[in-house]
Amino acid sequence: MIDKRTSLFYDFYQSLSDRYESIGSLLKKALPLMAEYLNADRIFFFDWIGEQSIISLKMMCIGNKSYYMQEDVFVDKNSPEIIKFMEDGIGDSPTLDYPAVYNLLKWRTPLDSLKTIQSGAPAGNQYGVIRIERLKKNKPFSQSDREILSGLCRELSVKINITEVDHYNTTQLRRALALNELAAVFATSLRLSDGIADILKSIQKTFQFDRTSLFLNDPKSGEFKEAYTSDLSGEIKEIDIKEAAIAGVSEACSKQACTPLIKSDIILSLPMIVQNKHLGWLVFDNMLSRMQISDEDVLSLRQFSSQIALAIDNARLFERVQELSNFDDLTKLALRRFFNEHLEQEIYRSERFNLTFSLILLDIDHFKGINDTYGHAVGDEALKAVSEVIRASLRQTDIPCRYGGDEVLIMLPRTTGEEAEHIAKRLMKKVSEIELPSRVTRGADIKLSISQGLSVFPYDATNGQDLINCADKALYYVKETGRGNWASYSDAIKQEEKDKQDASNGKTDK
Amino acid sequence: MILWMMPDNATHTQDIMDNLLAPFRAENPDIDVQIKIINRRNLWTRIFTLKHKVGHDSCPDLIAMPNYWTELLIKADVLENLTELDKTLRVDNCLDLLKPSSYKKDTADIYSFPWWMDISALHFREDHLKLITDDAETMLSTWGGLLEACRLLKEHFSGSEEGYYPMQNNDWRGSLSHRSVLPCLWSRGAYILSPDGKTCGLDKPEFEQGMADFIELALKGYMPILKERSSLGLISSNKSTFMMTRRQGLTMFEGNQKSIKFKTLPVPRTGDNYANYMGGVNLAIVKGGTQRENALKLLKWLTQPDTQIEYAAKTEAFPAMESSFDNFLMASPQRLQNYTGIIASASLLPNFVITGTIMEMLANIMSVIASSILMHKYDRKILKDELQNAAKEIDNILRFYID
Repeated sequence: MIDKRTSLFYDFYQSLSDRYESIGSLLKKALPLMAEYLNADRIFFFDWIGEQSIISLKMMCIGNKSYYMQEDVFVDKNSPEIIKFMEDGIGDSPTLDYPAVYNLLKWRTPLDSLKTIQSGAPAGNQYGVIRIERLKKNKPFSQSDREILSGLCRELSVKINITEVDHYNTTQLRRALALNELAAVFATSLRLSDGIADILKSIQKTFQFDRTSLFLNDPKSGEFKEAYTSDLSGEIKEIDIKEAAIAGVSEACSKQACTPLIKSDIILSLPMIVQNKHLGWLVFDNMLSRMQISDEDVLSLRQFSSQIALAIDNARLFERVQELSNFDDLTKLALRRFFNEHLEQEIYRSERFNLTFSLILLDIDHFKGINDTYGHAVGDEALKAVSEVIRASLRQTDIPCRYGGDEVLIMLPRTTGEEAEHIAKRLMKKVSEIELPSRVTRGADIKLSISQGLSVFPYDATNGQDLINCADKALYYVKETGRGNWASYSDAIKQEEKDKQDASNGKTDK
Repeated sequence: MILWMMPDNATHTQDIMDNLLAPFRAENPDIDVQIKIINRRNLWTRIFTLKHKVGHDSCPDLIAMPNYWTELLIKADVLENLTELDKTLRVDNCLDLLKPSSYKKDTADIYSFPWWMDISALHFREDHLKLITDDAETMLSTWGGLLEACRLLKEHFSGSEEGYYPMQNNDWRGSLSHRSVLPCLWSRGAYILSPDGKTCGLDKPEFEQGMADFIELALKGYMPILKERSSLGLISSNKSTFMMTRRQGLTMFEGNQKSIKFKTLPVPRTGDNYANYMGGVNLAIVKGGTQRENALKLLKWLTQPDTQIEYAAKTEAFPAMESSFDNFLMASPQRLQNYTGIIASASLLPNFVITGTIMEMLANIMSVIASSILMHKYDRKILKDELQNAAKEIDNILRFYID
């Protein structure tokens, strides 16, 4: 013969035999049952966050109506009443003036178990608190009621544990899928810019942070070079690298830190490291929602960050290969093939939108003499120095190219002939200010100068090769007339015609 | 369809809503309205999961939310553009103060629709005040006067009423309410965000002073903090005299205690001007929901004038529509007399992306202050440090989210 209490426990056990997707849905089912068994008016479930001296109300049930709550209530964990309650696991309310009993629940989370496996430390427990009240009935809870409550709470603890394990497994499965998805993305996307967008989108979708930011280091200097973010709007944008200071990773960057940095419970920063190369930081924040980043998230994100670091490293290698095939190693200027492709595009764009652009063809005066007199090493240094000046003096949209030997061809999009003359003048001045290091020249005083020829689309020519020929003609004219200067194609033509005229009149000066 | 709403009527919310919705359900038997009641803090955490639809709960179709969350949820791309769903929808008939929190910034597109609102006020027992003054109105016009009244009342009841506190705590957790403090701040000229939303005001001296004014209530033992609320006496018993609440409290006070006379005044001013907090609740349709048409139908039904009046009366709040509001106010001479002045000095929280975040931070600051008072560790430096740290963080958040 089964006694009444055993039957009640069995009924409770049977009623909760389903699988629950969340603790909330489990409590919604369990709490009204418990209130019914114990003839209580109201029942509450709190999370016990002992280290913060907080009990956090999660659900309140009155009759069969459930209220999802989140209210943190301060308790003094060092007070004698609380210490006794933690020891006994059950106790009366010290302040309420109607019957109310608290009962402790205890269970182990999957993460606790994982930590135990990893560190061998004894497993910690999670705690919850049930409060039942007889507010209207005002009938005290008997000893038997208390024993039943404790029994039900033990069963509920087991069920919470099972639900948490289920929830953890589901979450892990979802994250594993996300990781696979990311791996697939990396396999198909070699360009860094595409990869960054995919990384940020995938993390936001899987982890739902308010913002995920990516700070990338310059591979050479180790300093932050660029940063991108995706916020809750899903939009991906480039951000100021100074924002690294907010996450506290600026300092960590300079120290090449390689451990996760948790600035607060709402900001997490993870270094991205591949073969001891520090590529940058991934920063996750919940500054807007103020939601705590869980240990579970930290664990999964560490896996993510290694994958992401690998993908970024691959993308960078790919870009480096691209760079080597497009740029001259000595001068860092574009190679002819790269220049020609862009020249064609610029002609197409300028024709379509009725724009103008200019070319400058230049070479270093007496470059052969420098090579012959001081050696090729000095010649190379001179070429590098002039190229540096050119790169530093132009806009990002301008394309300088090593056209051959010491010849440099520069494309200046959306630039008129007059504007190109200003640029030529500026380049001439800056080159004249170059001082080659004495360790290279061995004390010799080498002065550098350049000669430049200019042509303008569409006035001088309308196809690429003709336009280059025009600039070459202008350069030739400068060289013929004394070097260290510049001339436009139209000037050269005018002068040529004048010279012809003069020659035909027998009054040639040259 | 699923409606998420806050416990507007505490434990009676579900019953009141079921009662209110009875005609709608009768008219629309094919629409199954399920109501899920979620308190404000829980709702705050849930709204951030709506975008990704990975939570365990089904996505709501309609939500009732504080009106100053509108811009945030638009930014998160969670809300439907109501104007696109129904071009005839207008907020023209709503109270002017409530209109800005319906629109997407700098557009005429409505994303949330005003449903009801409430206004902070000081309610008190006239019989208690007569024990200490002949002119309660003058005494309670300033914060200093209120504190003096609390002191005198505490002295008066110290022998006769065990557990008497002059001010009933309005905060559910028994903490210091971060919404009740707003009139004290505004009256001193403080602000949480400047009108353009670009500057945070938490580290300004007037903000700290406004906070300190409110904290005095707990510090001097005039208001209980961090105690089990149900253990405390209420204003309708003899254990309290004042209550600062945004609900009109007429039924709360008069329902069971008709012999006791209650009076309502604006929240006493801490600075030069009266300031009262008006809180609005708007309805919005969630993009991830599956029953958009039904949600729109229910939204329009709940916000029609008669339904608004009915719900407002049951919630001890005010309707959001101007005509309903006027009718509601006029229907009770006492209500009209009490609230005419209060409404004139009422302000809302601004509808910026980060307003909700700042209110969460303010709630945390209040918790820290409340526990430090309880542990006898409070001093003004704690308040100052908390505010300055929060201000720094808000400045950072503003950098991310300001347009």
